[in-house]
Amino acid sequence: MVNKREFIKGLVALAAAGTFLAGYREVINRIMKPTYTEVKPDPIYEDNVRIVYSSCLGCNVRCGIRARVVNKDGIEVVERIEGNPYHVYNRSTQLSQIKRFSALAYDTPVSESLNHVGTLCARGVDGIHYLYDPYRVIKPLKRAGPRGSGKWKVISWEQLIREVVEGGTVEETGEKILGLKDIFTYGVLKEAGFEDPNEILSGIKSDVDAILSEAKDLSYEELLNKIEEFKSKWNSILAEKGLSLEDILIDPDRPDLGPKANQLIFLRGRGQGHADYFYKRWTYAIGSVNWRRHTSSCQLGFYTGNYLSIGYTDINPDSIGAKVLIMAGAQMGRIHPGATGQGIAIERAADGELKLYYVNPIAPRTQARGNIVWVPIKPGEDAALALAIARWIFENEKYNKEFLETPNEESANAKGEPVATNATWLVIAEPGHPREGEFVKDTDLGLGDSGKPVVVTHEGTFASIDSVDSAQLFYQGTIELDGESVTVKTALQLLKEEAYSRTMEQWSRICGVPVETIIQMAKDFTSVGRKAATYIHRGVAMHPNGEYIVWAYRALDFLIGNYHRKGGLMGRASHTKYNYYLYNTDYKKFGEPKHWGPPIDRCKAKYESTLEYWLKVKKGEDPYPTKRPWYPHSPEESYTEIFAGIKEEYPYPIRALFLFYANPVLSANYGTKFIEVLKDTKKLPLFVALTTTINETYLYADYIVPDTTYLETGTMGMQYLYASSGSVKLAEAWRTPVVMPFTEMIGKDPAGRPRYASMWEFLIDIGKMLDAPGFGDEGIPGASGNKYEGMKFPLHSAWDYIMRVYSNGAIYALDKGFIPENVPESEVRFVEENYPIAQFKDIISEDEWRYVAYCLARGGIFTSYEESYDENEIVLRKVPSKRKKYKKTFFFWNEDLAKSKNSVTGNKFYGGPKYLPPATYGPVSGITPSYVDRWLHGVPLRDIYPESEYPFKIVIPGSPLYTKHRSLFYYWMKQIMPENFVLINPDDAKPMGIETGDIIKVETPFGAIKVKAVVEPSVAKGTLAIPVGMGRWADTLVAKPEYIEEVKTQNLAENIPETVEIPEDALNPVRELDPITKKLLFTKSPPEFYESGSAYDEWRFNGVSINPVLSRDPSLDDWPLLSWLGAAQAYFTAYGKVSKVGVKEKLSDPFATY
Amino acid sequence: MTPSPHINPPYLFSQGRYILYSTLVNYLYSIYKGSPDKNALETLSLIPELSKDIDKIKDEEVKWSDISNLLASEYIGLRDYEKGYYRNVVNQFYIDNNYKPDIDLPPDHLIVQLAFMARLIEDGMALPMNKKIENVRVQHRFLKVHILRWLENYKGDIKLIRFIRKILSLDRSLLMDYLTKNK
Repeated sequence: MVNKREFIKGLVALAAAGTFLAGYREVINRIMKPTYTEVKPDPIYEDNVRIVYSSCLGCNVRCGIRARVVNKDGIEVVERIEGNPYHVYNRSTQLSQIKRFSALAYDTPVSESLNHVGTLCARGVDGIHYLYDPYRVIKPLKRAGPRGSGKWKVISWEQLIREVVEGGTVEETGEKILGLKDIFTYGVLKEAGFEDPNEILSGIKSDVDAILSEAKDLSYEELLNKIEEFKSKWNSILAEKGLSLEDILIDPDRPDLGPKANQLIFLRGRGQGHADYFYKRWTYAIGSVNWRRHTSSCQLGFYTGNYLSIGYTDINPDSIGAKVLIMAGAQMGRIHPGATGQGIAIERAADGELKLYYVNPIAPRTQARGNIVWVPIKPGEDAALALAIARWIFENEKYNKEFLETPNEESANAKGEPVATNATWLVIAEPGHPREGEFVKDTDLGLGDSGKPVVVTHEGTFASIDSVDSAQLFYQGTIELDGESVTVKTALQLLKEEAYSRTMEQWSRICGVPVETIIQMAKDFTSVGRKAATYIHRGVAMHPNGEYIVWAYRALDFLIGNYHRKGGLMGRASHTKYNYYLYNTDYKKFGEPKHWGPPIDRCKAKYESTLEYWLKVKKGEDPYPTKRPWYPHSPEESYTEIFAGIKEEYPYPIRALFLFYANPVLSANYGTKFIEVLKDTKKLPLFVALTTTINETYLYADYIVPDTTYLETGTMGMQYLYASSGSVKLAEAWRTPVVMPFTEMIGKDPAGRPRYASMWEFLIDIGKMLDAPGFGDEGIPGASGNKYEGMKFPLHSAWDYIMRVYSNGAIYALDKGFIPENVPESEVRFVEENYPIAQFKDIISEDEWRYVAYCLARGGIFTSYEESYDENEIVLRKVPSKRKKYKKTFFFWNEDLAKSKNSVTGNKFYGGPKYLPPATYGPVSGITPSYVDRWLHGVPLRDIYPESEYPFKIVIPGSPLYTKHRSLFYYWMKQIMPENFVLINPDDAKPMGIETGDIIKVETPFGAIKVKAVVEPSVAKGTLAIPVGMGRWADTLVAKPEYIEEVKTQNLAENIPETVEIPEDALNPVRELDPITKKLLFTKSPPEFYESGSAYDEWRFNGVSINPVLSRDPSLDDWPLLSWLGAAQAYFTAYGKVSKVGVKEKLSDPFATY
Repeated sequence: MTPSPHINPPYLFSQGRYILYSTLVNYLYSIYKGSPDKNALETLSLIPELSKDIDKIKDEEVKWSDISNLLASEYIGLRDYEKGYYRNVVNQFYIDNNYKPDIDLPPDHLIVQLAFMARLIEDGMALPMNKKIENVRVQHRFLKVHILRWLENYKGDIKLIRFIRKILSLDRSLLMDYLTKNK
């Protein structure tokens, strides 16, 4: 007799054994068939169908896609987008598989791959709407009225290029628009007759460097004399050709600011693939340092925290091998590897292989049978949680002692560790000492003259870090330094003291996480060896104190020593040498002008290395405060500081802004502040937009350059994958056109190849008209060390560039054995019959083309998880680092940070993980901070905006559906989530009588919006969540945002025109599609919308965005609030209050999906 | 310390049932095709409680002629003219649940019935909770009314069939437990 219980256990065991029944299912399916029509993979072998593998751009994750293009009576329609089964994120599915999908083996024949489907999220599937958007601009436009008037006219491509280079006139207003020509310093020199402009620029730069290196040893007068000597020398040289320094430098009295070319900014929003390298190359070809990115609006706090601690920006865990993850501030369905790739983590959790703590004020989308545990937290207070966990780890000695005791990289490697830490290094911890925060050096103690840090041996003596292979972790003592007794502590001692600075109960009260949960998290985190990790992102980092939060979390990883290992933290997978292998398609060494000077946003630049600083110091003036802060530790760029820099003309004035695929006005907290800069034709004489539609920022442009989408030529090229990149050795997705561009054809290149309006062709034509290096007949040099060394190749079109990029990648992959030498003819034919890019194969050699085709046929180059680790489970990649030294050392203490100063107060920053409350950057007049800590330079925001007045914290979560405001045109997704709302917890809503559907006013200290409430417990008490992605007011057309009641100190409505005037023939690539396709694409839209392109469609302008009324920094003239160290937009630090408006509306969809 | 234990996932249980039914179908089908594949039964030995039964079944030689008449209509006391009508009822049950048999056997043959059960189980695995219960109800009804009702009348000596009857009875009681618990 079989016992029921045993039988059940047996059935579960049967399934858990992973029995694979492909054959068995076949028999069942043969005997019993469904009465409905089964959906099978689309057949490829139809005459009117093309299949293209490429890479998605629904968000930044870069999953793979496979697009099916059908020719309907001569018009091609992209009918369907699925996942790429070869891609490490997408994971191939087959009808016979029950679970645990994985990527198709890379060498699977392409014909076989068509029987598999890769997983793909809703955004990826709906990429079709990105392509077929009636609001798309397809011809060049110029403003036909004042900036922001909404008046546009079509101009020819030639006129666009000419006016951007030479300047133009707005005929309707008489305004002059300045061009680029006179700030193209290299060109100015060349035109004047200098045969080698770089010789002049290099000479100038060399002399500037000399002045700067001598500055600290000179008196004020001596420094001034040096500058005068410099001016005299170079004015005389330049005068030989009729020029002066005024023609070359921004400010001859400040030669460190760089050449006039720096007055050009190329700022990109969503950059990917070779678009990113291409416009960086172009910016450097013009000679400007100001190639800038949107990172402050994306993940700059996360990057900076990682950079300070690990030495590399992009680090996250291997979720395939991890057993415990603390996922904090990361959005399920959004953070890399995206909705598609995260499936494996959720599946593993559901199977009990992974325990995931979801630390977030919003609940996760699944509990995976109890293995995904929601840990609601107070936004911005994660450092308290991380330090509490650290405290438990110290108390219970659950740290990896042997790993942490190793003080140098060589000893670590000898012990089989890929990295070391500086846990044992001694820090000068004497409060107020001039060298407080620096490491004790061997020179301080007479141990040597290398200048290396010092540790305390187990025997109690001091030693230089590379003279021992183990040292004490916890030490506090004194040394004699210049005759003074000075306290010193190890870096880990400092962390321990910080962790012990509060009891567990106190930490719990700060972050809102119960003590028992914290303890359970700590226990789990330290119970699985090194297969636990933190999985963090912008939710923890985009706060004023964000970098310290990131550091506190990452400290946990290094306490257990999980880095660069299976199941632990790692950086990005490697990629091919796509920029420099056969051809130099890179942004350097192609003959570009010498460039120098601080960038406009002062990120990654040191104020103390400028003449401004030294002139003040030498004159006896206090060098602080500066006009705007400097961010030497920020590894990327800041939207706010770019615009503040333009407004303040600091460090220098700007001539031109080229803005690509970005929307800072809407995406930044209080981004509407930037409007005053964008409208100012004096501060910003030339504003060029490169875009598919005219958004809230582009509304103020002088010129609109129509661009292509990722299904055309937009951002084509190779995409590296963000950490951990599927946790494989090498992975890169290849993006290639699915269809030829819909934008206006502007002509042909000298070889007769068609050219279409786009970012690529615009920059090529500007480059050629200016005669900038790197464009034209000899634009692309051959790479040295390979067969084309010494040769030059033309760059007249996007195809010239991208084919050579593909060739670099493919041949590198061939040489390294990632792709086979014998490429079957069928694979080449597949690409030639299906891919638009194949018509340009003659740009490269036949041999190169075969290998390019092999990679294109698979949508990239991917290795497998199984082949990516050695026998010790260390990942087979280089340890990534952007540092010049200590590249493989985790910093529990960062001396460079500890030596650097707050630009307002001139006080030093704390150099390690620490709890500090969210606060302004500097002091605020009239407010004495309630929180006393000498490392806190500003005023806690809660002192300015008390909880009694603004009891709620506001967050703006993304989702697997909408991740950014450009997601608004994904019309199939709109059918799932037609509008957004504010989520409010029932415990908050009930006392106020708020019910789902009530329109409520959400008021921050900076304004108010009206929004529909959804009452549900999936948001933590005390938090309001407004899902991102809606609330637009400009997307070629405009619609004033009625939901915004007030933006304090700004009349937003005045800055938005009532209507736009735009020629219809400049818009709408959809009109040529057949009627049925148009109706299927836009089932809920009025026909005028997709027939004309200039008709209002409600779905493009509904919903809300809270961004305009999010936080500002009163200590920095009320510019948007940023993080202290990285200049990240602190849009997750926001406080508010709510009140009912007295109106109730139905939700468009009863299931509030987000 | 180990991470907190997770709940036994119910879907693994459904998967196990699917494997059980499909294994039985595959073995019977191999007999139907004239090449009995006893290896098909190996899977079920993974359930320790069943391994002795499996060994006995593997020792048994079953030909198609032994089981070709395992039709529900033959075992529930119908007159000849009623059998055709009954088969239509069974066929309609399949159609009402979006399936149709595609094998040269009467719809009430054991092989066809077990294949249908496998399909229902697989469908149920993909359903959200609020629809799953209805699916289980259908499974239970079919199992009780259309399979076990006649299997319980089987008086033959074929160990395989007796085994199937035993397993399906157990399965029915599990379904009943589930329905009771999720009323």
